[in-house]
Amino acid sequence: MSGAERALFYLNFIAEVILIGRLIQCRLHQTYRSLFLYWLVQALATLVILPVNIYTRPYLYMYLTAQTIFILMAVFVVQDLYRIALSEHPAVATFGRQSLLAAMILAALLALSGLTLDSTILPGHYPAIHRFATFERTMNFVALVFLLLIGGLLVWFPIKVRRNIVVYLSGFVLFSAARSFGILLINLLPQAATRLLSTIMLGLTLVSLLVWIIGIRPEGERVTATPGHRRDPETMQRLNRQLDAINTALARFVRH
Amino acid sequence: MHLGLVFAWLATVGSVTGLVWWLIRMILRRRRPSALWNVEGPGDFSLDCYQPMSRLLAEDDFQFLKSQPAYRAAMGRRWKRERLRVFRLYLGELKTDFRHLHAQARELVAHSESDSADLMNVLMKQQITFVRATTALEFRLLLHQIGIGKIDVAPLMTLIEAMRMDLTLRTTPHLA
Repeated sequence: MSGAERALFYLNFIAEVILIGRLIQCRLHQTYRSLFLYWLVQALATLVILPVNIYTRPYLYMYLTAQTIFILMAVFVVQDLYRIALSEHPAVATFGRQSLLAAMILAALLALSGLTLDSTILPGHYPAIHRFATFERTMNFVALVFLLLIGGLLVWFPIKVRRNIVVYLSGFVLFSAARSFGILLINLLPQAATRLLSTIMLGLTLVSLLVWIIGIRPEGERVTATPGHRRDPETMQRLNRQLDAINTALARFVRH
Repeated sequence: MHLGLVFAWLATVGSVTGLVWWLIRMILRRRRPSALWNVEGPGDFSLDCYQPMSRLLAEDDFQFLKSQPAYRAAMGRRWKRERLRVFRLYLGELKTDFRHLHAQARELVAHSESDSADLMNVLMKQQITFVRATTALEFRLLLHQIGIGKIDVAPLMTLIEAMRMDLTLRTTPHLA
């Protein structure tokens, strides 16, 4: 590890502990349970792995085990985020549940399409680590696409959500993007670039942690939804009629 | 193999870039209201704005122009080009109106109870139908531009009439 890499590694650990503490202090660890657990496990894993020599086989096995757990937890985190974001909007939440599988399949298909990008193992790269990295970046990419789809859905409706949810989502988009594209570049570039890329990835992870530490606040729990909108069947019917009329006319217009 | 790699890059970088672009575009569009709309919603846009569309692509005007002694082919080409450009501007406004109506419907659903979930599917279908119809119309306009086929604006006027009637129905209880 280079000096900068080591410094960022420790700073990340400190930031993880601060985030955990802040979530407990703000009594938000129950609300954002998945995020809290994700970083709690990350911090505990760091504590366990810290005394182990980095260039040994036990370190490698521990690292691979820990990363597998984190990947599976990340999938849980993004699904939980989806649930939290839509929980205050029952109608959309029902639609969201129906479209969850479709969104996951779409994200998985896109991620699988990119599997071949780093299929060639460059000299100096370990095949087992290389293949694991491909798996890891693919799963991170699934999470990234899924998060962007959630963001798209929230903007498209539009749904105004709690500020903390926006911070939570933004932080995870940055984190997933950094992991996904960072690992891809590590696999694609010669080993000489690995250290630099690893340092950049640690830096971006630190930025994500800082986004959550600074951005997630008790006052951010206030719902910023547009007030005064209640179900209005008459208006809804009128809007539906208007939209149908536009489509019918357009269809006829095209047929002529 | 090379083609496969290109596809892989497109799927990876292209999809993320596309999704980010889509997000930014939606955010910007929400901040830029149409000239025909104000904050009050769909009840305030002027249907009269669409009336000239019925004449824009009408053959009668073109026949009249052609019958003039000073008529030249270049004039006819320019006339058609300009009419199409203006028609597209109107069509763009119609699209904006649809988007606003659809956005309002989505907002209503988003803030309603779970029993409105079925309306989401209706809205989704409407959105798909609209995208399909406008894409086909754009294609027909393209063909029309190179002299293939004709575009009849009468159905569009029917649409405008339907929207006008709907607006009247909407405003009547408020006036009473």
